[in-house]
Amino acid sequence: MRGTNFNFVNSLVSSAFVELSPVASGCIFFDKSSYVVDVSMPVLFDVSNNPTKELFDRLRDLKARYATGSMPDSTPPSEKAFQDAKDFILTLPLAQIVKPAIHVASDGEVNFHWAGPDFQIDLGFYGDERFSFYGAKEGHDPILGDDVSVKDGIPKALVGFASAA
Amino acid sequence: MPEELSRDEKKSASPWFSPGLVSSEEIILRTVLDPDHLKKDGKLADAAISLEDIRVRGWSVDRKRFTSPWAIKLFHSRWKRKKPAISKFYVLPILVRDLRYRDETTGIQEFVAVDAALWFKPSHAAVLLSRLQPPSAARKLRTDLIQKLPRYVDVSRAFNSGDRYGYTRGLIWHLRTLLFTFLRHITKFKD
Repeated sequence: MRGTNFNFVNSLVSSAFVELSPVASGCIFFDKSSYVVDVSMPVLFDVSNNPTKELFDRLRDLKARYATGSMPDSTPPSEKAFQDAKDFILTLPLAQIVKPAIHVASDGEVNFHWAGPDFQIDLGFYGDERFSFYGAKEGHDPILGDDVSVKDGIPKALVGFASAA
Repeated sequence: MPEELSRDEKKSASPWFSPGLVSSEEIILRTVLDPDHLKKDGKLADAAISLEDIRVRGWSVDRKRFTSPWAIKLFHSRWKRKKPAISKFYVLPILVRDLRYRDETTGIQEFVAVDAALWFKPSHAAVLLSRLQPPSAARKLRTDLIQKLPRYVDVSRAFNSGDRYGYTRGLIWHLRTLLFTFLRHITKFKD
């Protein structure tokens, strides 16, 4: 039976001394020493595509950019607003839905926005461990929510709106 | 909670300095100060309009008939000094009628444009919701509004040669209102 030993793969990928290069039939793992380990196994994941990391990186950039007020009478987002956004990202089924665009508004909101040809979702955090949202999709009733706990994650109906399929 | 701006379009929010109420045929200009809010298709990101602004404080705009290109450029150059990384600012020229639409679901005019002139800034006005709404409803209306807004343009494209004296016009009305309001108060005091 052919299968993937993820423990083995993870131990190699997490090593600082290993480079991984995907090839058509499997993976070749290069160690910095003089020998090569050739393991024949299917590539089941794309190591370069990590949406969670990309969203975290975006939050980190925004946090640095908006460390002080950016506009007249503006309020930079609180540390807690960024933390809520991070916690929320961890609840997102990113294999199933498209990535949101993240922006900061002048009132300190960390805003998540999804848009597609037939749907729109607007959702945001102010750092009170809660979020509010509005979602609309053609052929469906719009969905609105206020004071939703970050721990509850994204509502299932919104996942349906933003699903890539 | 920030101070709530008047939502009554038939009254000025600053009667001492008002050059007049905002008409539906006017163009208002909104400067986009944050380049992160400019989308490649010429539209704005949702975050370009803060919920607090449309719910309570008012989204600041300039009335084109009471300002001039130099006044807008002066404002931009002051911000460029504070944010040297920003090479250019853009404006959104919005016809007031386009934001005084009636919402398809509620049948209510959800946005108002009110005169909110400031001392020596007669062009200042504000856009906000016609009634206080919860954040989720404000998100819906913000999404609707952003879809209706025009594309952002360079300041020079928002004006033509006849707009050169807008600020002077605004200032004359500004001082006239100030004088009349002052005289009215004096007369009342004497009576």
